[in-house]
Amino acid sequence: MATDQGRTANVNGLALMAELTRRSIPETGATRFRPPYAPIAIGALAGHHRGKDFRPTRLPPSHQWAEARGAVFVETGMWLRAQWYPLPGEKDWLPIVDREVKQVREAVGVCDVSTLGKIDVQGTDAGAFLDRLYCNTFSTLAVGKARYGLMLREDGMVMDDGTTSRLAQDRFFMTTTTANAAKVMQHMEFCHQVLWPEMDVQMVSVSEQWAQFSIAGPRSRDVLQRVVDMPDAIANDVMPYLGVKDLTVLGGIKARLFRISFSGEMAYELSLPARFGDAAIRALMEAGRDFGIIPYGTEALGVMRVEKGHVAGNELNGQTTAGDLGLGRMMSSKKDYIGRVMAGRPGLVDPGRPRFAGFKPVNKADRLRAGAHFIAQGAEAAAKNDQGFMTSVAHSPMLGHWIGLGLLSRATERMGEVIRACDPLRGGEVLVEVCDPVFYDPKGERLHG
Amino acid sequence: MAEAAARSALDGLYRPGRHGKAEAAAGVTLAELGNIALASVIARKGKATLASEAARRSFGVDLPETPRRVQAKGIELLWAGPGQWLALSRESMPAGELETRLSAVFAGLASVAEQSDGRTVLRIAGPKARDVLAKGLPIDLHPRVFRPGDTALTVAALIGVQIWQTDEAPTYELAVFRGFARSFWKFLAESAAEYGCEIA
Repeated sequence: MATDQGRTANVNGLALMAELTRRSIPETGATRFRPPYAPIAIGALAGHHRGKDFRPTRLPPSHQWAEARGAVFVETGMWLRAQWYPLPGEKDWLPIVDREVKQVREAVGVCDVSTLGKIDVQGTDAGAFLDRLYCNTFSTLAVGKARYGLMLREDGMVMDDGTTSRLAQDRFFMTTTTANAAKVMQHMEFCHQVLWPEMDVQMVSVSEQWAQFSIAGPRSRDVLQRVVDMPDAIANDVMPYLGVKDLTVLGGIKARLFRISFSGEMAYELSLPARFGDAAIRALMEAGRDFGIIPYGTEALGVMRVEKGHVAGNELNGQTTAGDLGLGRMMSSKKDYIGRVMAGRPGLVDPGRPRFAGFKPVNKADRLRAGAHFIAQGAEAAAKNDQGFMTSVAHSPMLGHWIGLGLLSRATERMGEVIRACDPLRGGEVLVEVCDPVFYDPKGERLHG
Repeated sequence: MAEAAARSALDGLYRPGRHGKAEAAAGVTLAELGNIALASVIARKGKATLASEAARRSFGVDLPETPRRVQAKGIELLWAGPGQWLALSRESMPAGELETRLSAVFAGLASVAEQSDGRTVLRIAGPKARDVLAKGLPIDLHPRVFRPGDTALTVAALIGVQIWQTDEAPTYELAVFRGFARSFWKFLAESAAEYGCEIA
């Protein structure tokens, strides 16, 4: 039919067919055509979806505030998030991010983490349902407590992680990574509708209902005590690490506070109705002024998680098992769960598989690059000698050099070994030492404040 | 400390008044609806009938079993999937209040979760409302198949929406996820410009 959809090109064919059957075109009848048969601009088909509107943009509750403050933004899926917050005169991203990390670790910082997937899970079987979904146990979690959860796919590979809290005997508040929010929700609905329809469990996305802010650093509680209506309710002894509390903030706004940490510092996540997200970031900044509070972006968040050796999207890449990531101990042996059987396949428990580890440059001035492949010293830098790759890197302002996380064959038996991180794509190689993935505060003492 | 001010997702984005084509009567009017409380209601296992009876006792209406919206005293109940509803109230109330009230009505029969802040609700009305929506909605809104009282969960301009029709003007109301509200508004306002658009 070609570009005119048969409107004109077919006329010659119709005339020939009419002649062959000794009739006229009106007698044989014409074929149908459909629009567009006249040239139209592609823009007319694209309509509104041009330029920045090619796809929708999703904005977290503090966006307008961050914009006015001069934040630099990054697209994560459809979300636009603050990547870092330059101060007047600051140009280079690295010193800005270094400053943000140091300020959080030495004082306090606030980050909008509203983009995390949030799922309200209710029902008499809610705990039992989560036990089947996650490889670790949730039915034993006490009301008012949060727990880190890891879920596998049916094939035994890691699917997603996040912190899930128990709000009541029959109610949980689940969080997922920003990237996998929709996928996890779909997975849960499939599990309920197809695999276990007999379970009394109800789930609904509340991702957009709640503005959520991470307040992290040794002065985080001091800041929060000026924002919550009853400061004593969040004292260290009544709300220890992994505690969860319903409370009110800013004069009567119903909110939830979670004492959880991605940065490794004493930290909280404050969740409140999204309409108050803008008011909350302004109030937190004002309340924190005496304590040196700064806003920090996704880059500083990423640096701190690398310093702490936490896995994230680069490691949860669909090809890693819980064991690969050093999280094998989370796989319960007392219950069944999605992925349990397939995670036991010989190829997935092979001790030679690449394992999660830390990597530091032998020459402290060397810059590390994510994507570099690990090759033994003296071996040819070729695919046959490939032993794994660097998944994430960061410049650590706390250590004063670059650090990396990666997956290396038999890494746990190779601590202290020096290997090459080869980057043929961008050129160059760096000698790195295999080390524990937790670079900063390995005993985790800072969490407890 | 700063006064805790509620802020709409569309704050500062638009200016009320006449937009687009200036001649003749406006083809559509657009408005953001404030003071809307929302909550999702999901029946517990095997309790859909009892939940519906509870709704009848408290509000005088059954929970709709097809994609319809029913109105009762102080509450509207919109079908949102099998065994799922979106409850809506136009009464002014504090954040979280609708969940508290409905949890009492449906105790043990349905799970309730506050959604007032999770959605932005918009209204589009007027003789050209259908033409504007046709630019982004894949579903047919012709009165033959979509009438006052009908609701649908669909997409518009690549954004998930729940839409319902309230009268034959025609007037439609749409709930979109808050984070997408600014993108969605731009689509609506731009699509309405050629017909002349009055923003309330």
